[in-house]
Amino acid sequence: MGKEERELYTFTRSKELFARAVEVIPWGIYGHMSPTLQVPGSFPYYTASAKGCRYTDVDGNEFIDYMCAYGPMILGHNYAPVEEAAAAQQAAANCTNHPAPVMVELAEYLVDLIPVADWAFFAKNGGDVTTYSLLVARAHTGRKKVIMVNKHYHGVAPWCTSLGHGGITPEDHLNMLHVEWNDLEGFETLVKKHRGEIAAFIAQPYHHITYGKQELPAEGYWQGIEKICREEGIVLILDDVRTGFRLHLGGSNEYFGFKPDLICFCKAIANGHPISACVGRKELMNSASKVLYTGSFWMSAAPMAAALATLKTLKETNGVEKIKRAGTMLMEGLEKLGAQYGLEIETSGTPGLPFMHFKDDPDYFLQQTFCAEVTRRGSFFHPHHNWFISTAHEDKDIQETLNHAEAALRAIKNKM
Amino acid sequence: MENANQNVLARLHLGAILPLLEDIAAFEQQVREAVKDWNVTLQFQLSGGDPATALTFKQGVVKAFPGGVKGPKVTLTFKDARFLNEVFQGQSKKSPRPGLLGLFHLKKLLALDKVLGRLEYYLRPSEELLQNPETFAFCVHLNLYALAFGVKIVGEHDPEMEPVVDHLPDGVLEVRIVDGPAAHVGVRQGQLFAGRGPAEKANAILEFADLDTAWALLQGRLDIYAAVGGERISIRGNVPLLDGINPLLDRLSMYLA
Repeated sequence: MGKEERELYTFTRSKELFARAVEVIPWGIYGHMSPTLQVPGSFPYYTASAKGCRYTDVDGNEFIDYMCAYGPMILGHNYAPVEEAAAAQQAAANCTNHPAPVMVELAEYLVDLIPVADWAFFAKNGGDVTTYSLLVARAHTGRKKVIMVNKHYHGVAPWCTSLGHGGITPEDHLNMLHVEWNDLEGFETLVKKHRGEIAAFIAQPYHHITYGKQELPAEGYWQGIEKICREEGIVLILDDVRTGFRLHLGGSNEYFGFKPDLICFCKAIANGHPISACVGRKELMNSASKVLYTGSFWMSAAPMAAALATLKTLKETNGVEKIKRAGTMLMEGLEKLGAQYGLEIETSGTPGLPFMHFKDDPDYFLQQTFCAEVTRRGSFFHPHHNWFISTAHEDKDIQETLNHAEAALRAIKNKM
Repeated sequence: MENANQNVLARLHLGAILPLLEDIAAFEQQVREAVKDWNVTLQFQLSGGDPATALTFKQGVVKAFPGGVKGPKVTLTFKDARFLNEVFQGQSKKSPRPGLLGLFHLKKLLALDKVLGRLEYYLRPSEELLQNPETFAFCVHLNLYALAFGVKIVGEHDPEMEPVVDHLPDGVLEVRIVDGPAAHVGVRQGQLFAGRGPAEKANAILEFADLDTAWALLQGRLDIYAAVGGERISIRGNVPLLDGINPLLDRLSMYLA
């Protein structure tokens, strides 16, 4: 074992905890944070502490964070103004018999911030509001069917979880129709075939799937979708849960130039505090009032205070631009390194949610090795899921990561 | 079990289980001895001829031909799927109907029960058998092949799996055990195929650290996500292919439970 090899991170404590976890928790760690989705043995499993764009795992390894908790940490971990706002609200009142005034303030702020929003509804997770948006669309149109894009992720409710996963039945998908991403013609054909039956079209602003290249909308795609939806009385729902506030503070539709009827937000809205939101046009507000939908903690006030502080900070500090700059530096740096080492790297997506893969690596073998090597040097690169940039990522952090990437590429080349 | 599922199970018995006699004969001296003088092709089939699997016996070597062959010497026809399944599960004392030529091979047919009994012997082994490292390894080996062949059949014939198969990406999944056997399952334009041994070019690899882990999974006693996190199973390459095939594995275990 060479010197560099000896200095790579190890994960003894993570593995010990995981061994205990599997005795009492299905999967050990379930869902999107399951080690199954990374490269077990080369990634940490448990966090000890976090600050800014870095976190430390239970083995004492420090990472520059390119997942940001899979999106929420848009201002970086433990961002003081947000934590203080949440703590102040928590001290005053959080979970009581009634909402706190901050709920009204937050709804008003979202309505001012987001051009298409005339009202706002709050819940906890992204999946709460994507499901809610379908209920509103059905209440509004009196129709049952919903079109979604193949492979787009809208949460884990049965309507959007693929068959084959435990507990999902074909009946759960009875009213779901599927179309390929960027296939405007296919969408039009489907609408014609089911004219008068379709309540909604739900999609992410662009194709940011797990295990694949990220694809932006083709020119005219969203405008074409919007036109058809208007003509056919179909509610247009934007699932901005993952992308929201990293492309545009007014919703990612503003970035791509179209106007949805409903937008679903979560992840980055409160910099790590649990809250999601669905905002909508006034034409749908009466229909929204016909939907019964609630949860034990949906009115909790502290996350609302955190959301307000997060959104205000992003606006005042021009956070979107800062994220774009850092993400661009990372994407360009990786492509340059790939060319330098003869392993062509292609980046895709948007700078706030970048992703990369190797050109001649359709099955991700090289990608998995590379991301593991980079992670074991101190920058957390997920091999299969798009990454996230925060406003806490400074040039020096990106440069340090590019150094990790270069060392990883060198190690891979040496083994080839 | 519903009729549709009985049909899938019958296909599993003929297409995934019966061909394992090839491996059993290669492994076990007693079986080779029992069939050493046989020089015959036996075809097992449902009434109508589909599904069918032929076994050829020649000097103690057994070869299986899933799908059947033309002009077998002896045809054993089962009147329906339920009956076939009962025979394979040892729940029926009746025998399938041999064709006219089969009457000339009655002695072999009487001995066939014993030979077929070895399938159950290794696929549902006793604790004693599992204590012996050599037979334990063979049981794992055999179940691994049954899994590969079974996934293909469930994917092709279980109507409930149709939407799953429709979304499978093309590629070959290799399932292997460190220092042990391997099998593979592939998808090409919605068509499944399976085989013994490693893939020529695997797009995804599911690797068990040892025979114990593989056996636990094959017996449906393992949380695969926990095992991957705990590094008892490693998955590499095209994970969506493995994810896509996973529901077929779950479905297969329902049939073979």
